[in-house]
Amino acid sequence: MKLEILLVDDDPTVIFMHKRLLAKSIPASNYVVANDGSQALEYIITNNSTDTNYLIFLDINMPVLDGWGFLDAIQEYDIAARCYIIMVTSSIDNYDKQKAEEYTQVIGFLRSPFNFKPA
Amino acid sequence: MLNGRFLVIDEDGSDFAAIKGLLSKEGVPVFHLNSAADFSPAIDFNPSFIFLSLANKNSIESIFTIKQHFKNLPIIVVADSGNNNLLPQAMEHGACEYINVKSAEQLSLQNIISIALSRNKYIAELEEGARDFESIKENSINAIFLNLQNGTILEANKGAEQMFGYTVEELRKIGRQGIVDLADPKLEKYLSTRAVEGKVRGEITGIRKNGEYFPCEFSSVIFRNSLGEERVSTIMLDISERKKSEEEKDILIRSTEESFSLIDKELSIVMYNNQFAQRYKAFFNKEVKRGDNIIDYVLPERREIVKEIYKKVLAGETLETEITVPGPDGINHVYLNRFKPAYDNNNNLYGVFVSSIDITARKKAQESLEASEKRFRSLIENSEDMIVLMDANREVTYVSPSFTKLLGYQPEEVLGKRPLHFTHPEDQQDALKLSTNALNTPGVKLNYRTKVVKKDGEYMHVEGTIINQLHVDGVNALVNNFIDVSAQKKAKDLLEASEIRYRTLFHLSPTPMFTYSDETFEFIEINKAALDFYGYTEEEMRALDVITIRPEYDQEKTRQNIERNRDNDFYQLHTIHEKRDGTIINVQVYNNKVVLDNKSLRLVQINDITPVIMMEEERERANNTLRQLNEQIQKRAEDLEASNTELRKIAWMQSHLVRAPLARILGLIDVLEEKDDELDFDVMLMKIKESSVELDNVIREIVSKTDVVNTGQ
Repeated sequence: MKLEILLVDDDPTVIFMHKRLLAKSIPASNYVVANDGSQALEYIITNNSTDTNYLIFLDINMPVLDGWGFLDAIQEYDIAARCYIIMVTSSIDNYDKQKAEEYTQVIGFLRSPFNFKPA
Repeated sequence: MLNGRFLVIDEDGSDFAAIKGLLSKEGVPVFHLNSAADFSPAIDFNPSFIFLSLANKNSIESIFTIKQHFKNLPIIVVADSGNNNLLPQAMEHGACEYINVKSAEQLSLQNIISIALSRNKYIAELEEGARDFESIKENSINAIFLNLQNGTILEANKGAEQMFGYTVEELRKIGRQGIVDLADPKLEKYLSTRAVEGKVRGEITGIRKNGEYFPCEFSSVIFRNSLGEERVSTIMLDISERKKSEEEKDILIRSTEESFSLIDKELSIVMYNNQFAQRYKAFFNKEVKRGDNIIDYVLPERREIVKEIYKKVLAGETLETEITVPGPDGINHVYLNRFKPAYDNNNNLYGVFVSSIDITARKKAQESLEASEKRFRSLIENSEDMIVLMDANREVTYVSPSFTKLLGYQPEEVLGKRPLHFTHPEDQQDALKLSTNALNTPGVKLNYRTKVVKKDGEYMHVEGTIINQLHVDGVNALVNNFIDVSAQKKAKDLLEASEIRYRTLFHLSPTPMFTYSDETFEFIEINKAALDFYGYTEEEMRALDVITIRPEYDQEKTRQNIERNRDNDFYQLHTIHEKRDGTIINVQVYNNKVVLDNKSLRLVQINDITPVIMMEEERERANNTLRQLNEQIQKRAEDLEASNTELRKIAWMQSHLVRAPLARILGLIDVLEEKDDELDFDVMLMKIKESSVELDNVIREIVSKTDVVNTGQ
């Protein structure tokens, strides 16, 4: 089974920092960048392969299709079972975290800024 | 040898002398007169023969005179060569022989007289016959014509003048074409038949002078007269009366519902009317013909019976039978047949006259009448109504079984007695008046109520009617019909008692109540509570009605309400009334329909609900206040909700918008702290600056929104 990583955020600075952190944490990893939920959705539907799992770093507030919209949209596809999503947000609103827990695909909730150093 | 008395009429006496000489040998008396004008009853002779000298003046006229005095007496004219020319005239007018006295010697006078006698007899007979014929012709009511084949009329009698209205001269002028309808198609046929066969008879249409057409029967014969000329004698008979009578007879026969037929001794049909023909055609689908045997028109199973009937009738009996046969319409028809012997003018038995009439309807009516009679008899006999019939003496002629059953008297105990016999003594006077009244008013139904005495001595209250039907055939009685109303009487008494009780309750009730007429709306009764309630005296309140007890502005609506509820036995409604002091009161009205003394009334019960209404109004006011408070609270809550929404927006901005640039700055600082040489320091600085500016803007916006919340704008 292969693993593909998607970085989904409209903020280039955040993408920049994600890339740096990934380069350090998982040096050999490949990733795909999407600027909003709709681009990410289009990518995984177009390149859907049953032997691939997706690890998605998903921002909440984005233009066109936000993080919640993306989560709702993938429920219609069988691909949802192969998506592993980590919500990444600067929000400190607990409501966002509670809402994220309602989606089975969400495996983590990170508040930026963050690093992969042990806490 | 000659016999007789001879008269010679001779002016100059020469012929008398000659004849006397010739007769002298015969020894017969001979008389003489100078002229026929000398005849007088005084002359005493009775001649057997007359000799008339033609040498006389007016000798021809004298023949008439002689004939007037001595009818049928032979006249022998005495001629000589000087007056021979008068001979034919004299012979034509009645002389039967002539004699020339100069040549008489050569002849036997006896022969001449003998010839004269024979000829005179013949002439007399001829004249008699001609007179008879003329008389027939003149007195006949038939028109008799002497005419030619071409229609020219030569002679016509008085009958013809009367029949056609023309004189003989006019008839001669107009001929056949003026008196016969030439358009009659039969005419031409008749004329040709007559031309071929010499005679014809038939019927033709005549035309009178007044233009009237009429049917004629005629006979016409061609003959030749003594001169050998062809003549036609035609006799016409006006048959309009006969035709009319025949038509009427026809109508009569046609109009009768009975079927008639005349059957001869051989049972052949001789005559029949339309009904007969139609009926048999309907039954047998066969045209009835004269000469058919009547037995062929009888159903096979009845033939022997019918033959037997004819046999008896031909033996002189008159019979009547009633038979039921299925008709062509599918239902059974009942016929009443009468068979009578028929005789000819000489009273010889000719055959059988049969009349038959369909009595199905009559039969049905009779059966229905019988059934109805049976039904009514059964009704009377099983009814609880007692019926007593009385004659003009008021004596009982019939009592129904219920009379015996309910009063206990056997019919024989009351028949022939007067009803007073079982009338309560208190009511006997009235009963007598009632029956007198009935006797005086035939056909009028009189109602009564009385008490009768039962056989066991108890009284029974009865109610009934008596009607004088003495004049009605089949009834001929005073019909007295009554029923036991003891139970009703008791019930009524109880009802009256109860009514008094309830009336008392009505008047003593603490609830205001009144009754009013359903038609006039006037108050009938008002109880004391109502008078107290409204504040009126009874007289004052009676001056009002159920409409005017309301304030004026509400009266029309009330009238409509009452009209709308007129057919409802009960209704209640909330309305307003006005007291005497002008106070308007709210009342609940309970309105019941009641019938008292056959009048339709409404009983109204009044419930004053003014206090309830006031409480309701108070409650309504309190509710309004509460409603206003609630509205204020609601408004406040909405305002708070609006503030909260703003506050939530601020919190969201703080959480998302403030945290986003701040997180970026913190992240960038983390990156800088790594001191990575490959990092472009200026780019990092620029990113930090951008995020810082963004953070500054967000904070300013938050401050601005917070002001909105605080000021509520």
